[in-house]
Amino acid sequence: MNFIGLLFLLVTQLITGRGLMQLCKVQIRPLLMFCFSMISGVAIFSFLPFFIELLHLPITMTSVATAIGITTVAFMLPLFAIIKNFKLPSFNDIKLPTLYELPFWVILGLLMALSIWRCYYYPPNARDMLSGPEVLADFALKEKHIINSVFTVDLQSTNNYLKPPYIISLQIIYKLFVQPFGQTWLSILFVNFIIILYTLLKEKLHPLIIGFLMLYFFAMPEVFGYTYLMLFDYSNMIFLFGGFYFLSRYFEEMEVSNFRFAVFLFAIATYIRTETLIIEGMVLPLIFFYQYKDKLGAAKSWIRMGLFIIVPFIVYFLCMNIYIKHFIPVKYDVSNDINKNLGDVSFFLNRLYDIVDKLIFADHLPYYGYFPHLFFIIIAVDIIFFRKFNKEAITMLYGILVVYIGLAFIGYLLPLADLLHTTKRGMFKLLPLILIYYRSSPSLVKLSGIITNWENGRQEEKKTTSAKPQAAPARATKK
Amino acid sequence: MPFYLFLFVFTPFYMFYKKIILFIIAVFGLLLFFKTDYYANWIDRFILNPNTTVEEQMSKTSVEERKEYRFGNLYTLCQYMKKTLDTTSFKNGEPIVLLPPNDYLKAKGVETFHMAEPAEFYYHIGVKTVWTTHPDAQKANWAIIVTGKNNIAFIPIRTTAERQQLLDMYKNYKPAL
Repeated sequence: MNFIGLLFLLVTQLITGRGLMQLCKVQIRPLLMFCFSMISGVAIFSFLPFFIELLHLPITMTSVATAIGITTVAFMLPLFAIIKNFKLPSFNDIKLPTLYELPFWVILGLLMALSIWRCYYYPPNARDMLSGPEVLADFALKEKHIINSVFTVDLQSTNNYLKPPYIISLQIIYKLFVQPFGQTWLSILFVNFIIILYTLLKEKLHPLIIGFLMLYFFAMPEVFGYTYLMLFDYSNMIFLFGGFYFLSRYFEEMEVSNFRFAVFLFAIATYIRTETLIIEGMVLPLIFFYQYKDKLGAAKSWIRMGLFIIVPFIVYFLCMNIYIKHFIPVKYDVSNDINKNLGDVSFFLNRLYDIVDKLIFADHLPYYGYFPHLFFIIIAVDIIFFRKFNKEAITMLYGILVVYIGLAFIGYLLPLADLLHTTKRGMFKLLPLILIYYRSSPSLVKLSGIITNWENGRQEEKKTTSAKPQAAPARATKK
Repeated sequence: MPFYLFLFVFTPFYMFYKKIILFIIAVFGLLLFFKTDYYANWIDRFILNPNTTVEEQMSKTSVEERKEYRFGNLYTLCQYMKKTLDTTSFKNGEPIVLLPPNDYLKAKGVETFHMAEPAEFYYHIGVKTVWTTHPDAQKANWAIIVTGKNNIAFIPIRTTAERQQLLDMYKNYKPAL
């Protein structure tokens, strides 16, 4: 393993991602800024070998390193604006774990370490990779082009070469700079994603509750496996979750900076799995609703809604209509994959039923452990006893609904998207939304408040209304 | 002295005992969690994975060892094919290997081996393989054949008749994963 290469990528990705967040003028706590910068950097780098291929240039160490250098310098420019006012970030919000957090940290830490080790140790093994992105990336390094001799092989039993070049590009970079199996980028996304989730939960919930929630989240066999088994869905989940999170921040204060970054994250989710565009289209009514409610001008409102769908669509167009249509030497027409009998909606309704029956409540093996079951209990308590949801909770619940209906719709529209593969992994998308819903769940917030008050003693009871949220930096509202 | 022990000794007990209670709840909660059948099974099968330990993996870290470990029989077969092709005296243009359909393997009692896709063979050794339904099957000059229960062999196809005989044998089986 080339640690210098890994360090080089970590630093350049961090700078690139941080530059992008500065361009969007996103203001969040330093730890979240660090993690979101890192995953954004990975996302931006995933376009580099792809663009080199589109320009018909050879993919070599020199060309990729040059592309990384140019990108890093370009995204560093917005950072110069803040250098004169630069202060070392205060990491006051990073505190040592309390005694009762330690058992969870140990277990979660061990699971993360195991995932990172397996991600490093195992070669890519998923069939979808070996007959598509992985073999293309491997031969791209030998033949200097993504469009290479792999297309002369018998590909009749696969269509995995038709996937967007997100993984191909990252594999090329990480094979060149880190290790022969690449793949380490997945651990970078995973670790930063987990830190983001934990940090967000800690803003509003008691650490004991967070420990158990995170444990349930980790212990989903189907999901944990994909933290070291390279495929598209785990990455797709991370970026779609990020999009929904920043969208909820946008709804809270109508700050355009959050909206810009949300659009970027949704576009990346589309880049990873192009059918995500359908789910994003279904988010438009929620944006319209909140913008109308907050009396945002009609022109601004429509422009933002337009941007919300146009930017991911550009990425979709780049993959489907430029890369696949004009570069891949195999004829592919997406319309051939569309359900010929759209009038029969029973398939859609059956898929809705099957998701619940065969995936969530599968008798022999619940694919997602008891994480969804826990959600049903908590949401039932929230609806029966509280019936009070803030904007973040509504956004997350809307996201969960949209993913559920959207996946069934995708299955109905594209019969190739089968239940036990595409839909099963597509369901990952709603899992972090559930987790973030928990931090706004009235019942869990109340429970956190009770534990915190008890823990801190009676004299502090009056000061603490609920689990004390940690201070977020002041945000200027800019409509 | 560990940090928490230090705190424990020097912090008045009344300020700390609630944290200890929460700590006990956390530990018991974790034990209970991993005692449930579902999660105990997950930990056993997928995390602790008694077949291979991390220590064992750490003793085999070369690229080849990791590939052998992960891809198993298929990788061994690929290496054998590559070695055979590199050393054989039978040269008949670019090697194109005819793959038997997986249903045929099953029907002949081969249970320990599952045929991968041509792209996967190409990934491992850069050799072109074809399913029986591909047009290039008519140009195949090598084949993987079944020689007995759980036995397969890699052989050259020397004549058109040999190739046709294989294709006829496979014609009732659909090549699929």
